[in-house]
Amino acid sequence: MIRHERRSVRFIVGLILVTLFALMCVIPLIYMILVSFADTSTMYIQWDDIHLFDFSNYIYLFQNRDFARPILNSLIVVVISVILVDLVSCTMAYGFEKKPIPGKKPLFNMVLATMMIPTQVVFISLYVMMRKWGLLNTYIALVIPLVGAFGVFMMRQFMQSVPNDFIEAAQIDGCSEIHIYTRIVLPMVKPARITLAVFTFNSAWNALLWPLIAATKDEMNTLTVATSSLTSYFATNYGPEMAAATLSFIVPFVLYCFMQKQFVEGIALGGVKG
Amino acid sequence: MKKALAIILAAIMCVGLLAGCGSEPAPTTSGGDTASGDPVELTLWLPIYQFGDGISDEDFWNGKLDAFEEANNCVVNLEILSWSDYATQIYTGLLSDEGPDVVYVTETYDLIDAGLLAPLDEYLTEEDYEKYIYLDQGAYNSEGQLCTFPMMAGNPCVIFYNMDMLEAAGITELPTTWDEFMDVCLTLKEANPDVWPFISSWGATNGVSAMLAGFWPFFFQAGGTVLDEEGNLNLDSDATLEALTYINSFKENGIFDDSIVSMDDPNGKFVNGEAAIIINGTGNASTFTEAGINWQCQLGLEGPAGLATNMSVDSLAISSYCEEKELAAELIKYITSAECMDDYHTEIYGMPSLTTDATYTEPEPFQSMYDDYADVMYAVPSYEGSASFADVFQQNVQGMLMGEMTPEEVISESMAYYYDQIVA
Amino acid sequence: MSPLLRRQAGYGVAYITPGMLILLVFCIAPIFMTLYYSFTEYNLAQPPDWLSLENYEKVFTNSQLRKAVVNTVIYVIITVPIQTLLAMFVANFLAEYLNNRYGRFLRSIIFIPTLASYVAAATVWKVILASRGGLLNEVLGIFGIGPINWLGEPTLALICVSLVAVWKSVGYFTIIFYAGIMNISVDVREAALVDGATPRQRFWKITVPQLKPIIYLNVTLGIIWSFQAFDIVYKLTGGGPHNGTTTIAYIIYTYAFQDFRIGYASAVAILLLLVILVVHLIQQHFFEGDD
Repeated sequence: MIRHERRSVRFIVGLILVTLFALMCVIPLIYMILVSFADTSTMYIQWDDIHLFDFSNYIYLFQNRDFARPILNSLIVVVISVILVDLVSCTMAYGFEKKPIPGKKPLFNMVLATMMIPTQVVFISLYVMMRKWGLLNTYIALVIPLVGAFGVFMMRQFMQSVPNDFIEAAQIDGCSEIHIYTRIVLPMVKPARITLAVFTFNSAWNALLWPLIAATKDEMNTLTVATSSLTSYFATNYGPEMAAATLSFIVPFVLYCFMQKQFVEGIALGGVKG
Repeated sequence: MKKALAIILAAIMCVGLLAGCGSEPAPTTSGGDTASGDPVELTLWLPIYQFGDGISDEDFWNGKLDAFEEANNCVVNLEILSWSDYATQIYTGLLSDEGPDVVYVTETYDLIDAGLLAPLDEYLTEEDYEKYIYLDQGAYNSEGQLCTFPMMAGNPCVIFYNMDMLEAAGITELPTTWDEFMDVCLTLKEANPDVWPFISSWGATNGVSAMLAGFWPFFFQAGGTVLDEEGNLNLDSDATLEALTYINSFKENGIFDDSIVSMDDPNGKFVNGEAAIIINGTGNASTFTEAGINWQCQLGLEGPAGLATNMSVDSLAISSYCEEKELAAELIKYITSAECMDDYHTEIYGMPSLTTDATYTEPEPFQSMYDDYADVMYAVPSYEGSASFADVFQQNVQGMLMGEMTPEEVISESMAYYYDQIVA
Repeated sequence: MSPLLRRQAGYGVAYITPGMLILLVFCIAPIFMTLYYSFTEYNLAQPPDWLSLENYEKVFTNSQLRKAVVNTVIYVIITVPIQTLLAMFVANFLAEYLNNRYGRFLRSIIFIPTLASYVAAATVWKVILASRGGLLNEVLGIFGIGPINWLGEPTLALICVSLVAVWKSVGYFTIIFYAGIMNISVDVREAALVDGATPRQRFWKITVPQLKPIIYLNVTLGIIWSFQAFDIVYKLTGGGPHNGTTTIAYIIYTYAFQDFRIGYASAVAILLLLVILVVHLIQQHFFEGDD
């Protein structure tokens, strides 16, 4: 460990600045939660208007705006996409990393190159495609774009740490291919899979553009889209809008509280290993 | 280098894939199974109009539609749509196979141009034209066939005044001309600098809603016509210039401050007593009353070309893929009949009655406006690229209100953009 | 190829084929479809109509789009350096000087905005930045400043949009840089300390060069993401005022999914792809030339 003179002015100033910075990060979100409990009809929000534990804005969302449906949609999309992304990423990564596929380098580079493509380029034609196949307003349509190169790329990094000797030893022992993959390889990369799941969760839960396009019916709206379209109803009554924003924030936040390690390590590894 | 190789490889693979896509047969629409004696199904899309606490749109229509379903042995699947991205919802809905059979439409040009709406002529009789007052205000396709059936005709943009504020400023008489109106605004500003004397919606989320109350009333008061004889957009006119110059003078006189261009909820300001005058549809009157605003209203101002304002005509239409057009037309006539509309206007949203036999009258002063001034309420027709043009026009007016453009530049840039980019 | 190897290759193909198919059909094929549409007029109702280069000619004379390109570039120029540098400084401080419970607590706090969606972020920031009655102006009012119309003036609105984006993403990059700094071997850092390097020297001479691959990756990602800025604009400003915050991605959305001019929107999207590629090449050159 490196030692420092703890009391140097430089350190104190840094400490204050970083603390202020951290405060800046959370104050808007605290404000959001506070206003979600406010009963206000004007732009001027008074502190007296805020009654914590007065859930009327939330009740309004569920009773009058049917928020149960978008929440359910978001949950379904998240669950399907987490499973699908895990499945696709792990199998592809394993194949690319551990199997002698002819021409795998250019193939893998092609997969990587798709990470550079702006989503708009893909979404225009994906929309046309989904429409032609009658898949708009289905969960399949909402989930599909979440499968991407990133998961394959990340899982391949982790597959590298699975020793080839293990696999070869299992092969010599006469283990079947399926057995090796499901019983030996997958358990070894389990932490990475959890990380990927957390990642997928976050992007599926927060996605706006594609659900906005692919769900043309209100009943298929995800929570993000439903929150976004609230504005047109109450531009001055911020309460319900903030309650919706809080709802959409609270789920990943609670998850983060319980799985902070996976969040942080996943992002760190994803960003550092590349 | 490797990436380039990969992309070429991908290209080769995709050409094959595309070829596969191209040869795919057009999707077959699932045929309605009417022969088996099952009730016919019709899908009906209407927008939400209940903005208060009364009976919901859904409950109201489901109650009304029971009688129709029984009489015609059919099932009407009702969907109430939100107003956010309404035109987009309709367009994508009509493009998909599971879209509506009968649908409430606002901007109609693109829908008709793309052949998404069925002509109604063969389902309409002479009596219908006599019974339905606004039927001739529907939209026509290029062959002159009627494609939309007016359902909500009215909601003219009128001027609401907060009389408490006017009285506090010593104003006893409502202005009638543009100059008098400006004087009233200036007096209000002097009396109470903290509130907006007059507020406008130039920060609205889309150009169509921004122009609705912000531009068209002044445009018609200046004697403008939206389309010329050939049906081309006719905004490159003196009337536009006069209207814009007048709008700009609110900025120059300090009535509008800079935040007018990010103002997306002028109604809220008026409701909260933060603004003294607003131009808005008559349908908002009940909101103002509920908020306890002591308001008075007048149809409009007398501009250079006299008294005028704009109103909207929204309609019902039948999708071209609908398999039961005859029944769909019956449904439209039922919805717009006095039987439904009298209650609708009372319980959901007030609008002038559509038929000669309807008993509903709009509350005063609006009913007299319809009786006396119907000939100076102009509907803004839907024209090619109207939504895109409105967006560009709104952005340019924002530029004008920030002092970056002159009214002349707003017109020339908007029109140039319209011809170069939108209808080119 | 030995039979064993051939069998392994067969397994490998089996492993990657389903995923490759999904990527080909739903990610790679659409790229080429969009390229094709960019040469056509297509409103979804009628089949695409071949136009050759007409869309591209229009793209280059479109004043609204030109503004959007400029806005997007400014947005990238503001967000990428600020979020990178800020994240690096914060991460460096936390890793080097505050490697204790409090430091870890701060680190978990800083990450929280990343959890919120852009929609939630924009919803709350819109209220904070409101010109009348907004939290920020209320606070500034205490010091006798303002009220400032944050979102009502094009340049200021664009800066606000960019800074809200920084607020939302800086935690993400902080975590990455933090991990990167912790990965730098203790020996290297100890050696610098023994050499009597000042903290500033240590940061610029030891930490930053060691972090270079991570910086490269994250600047690359940051640029690609920032060029696609849509959510924040859609919710916070709707592209206004006076097109001041319209971005390329926002234009593509309105052209394609509000006006349904699929062909024209495709041309703009291809343009965005080209812009990103060019910037990427420049950036690659810049990083390599640095060695």
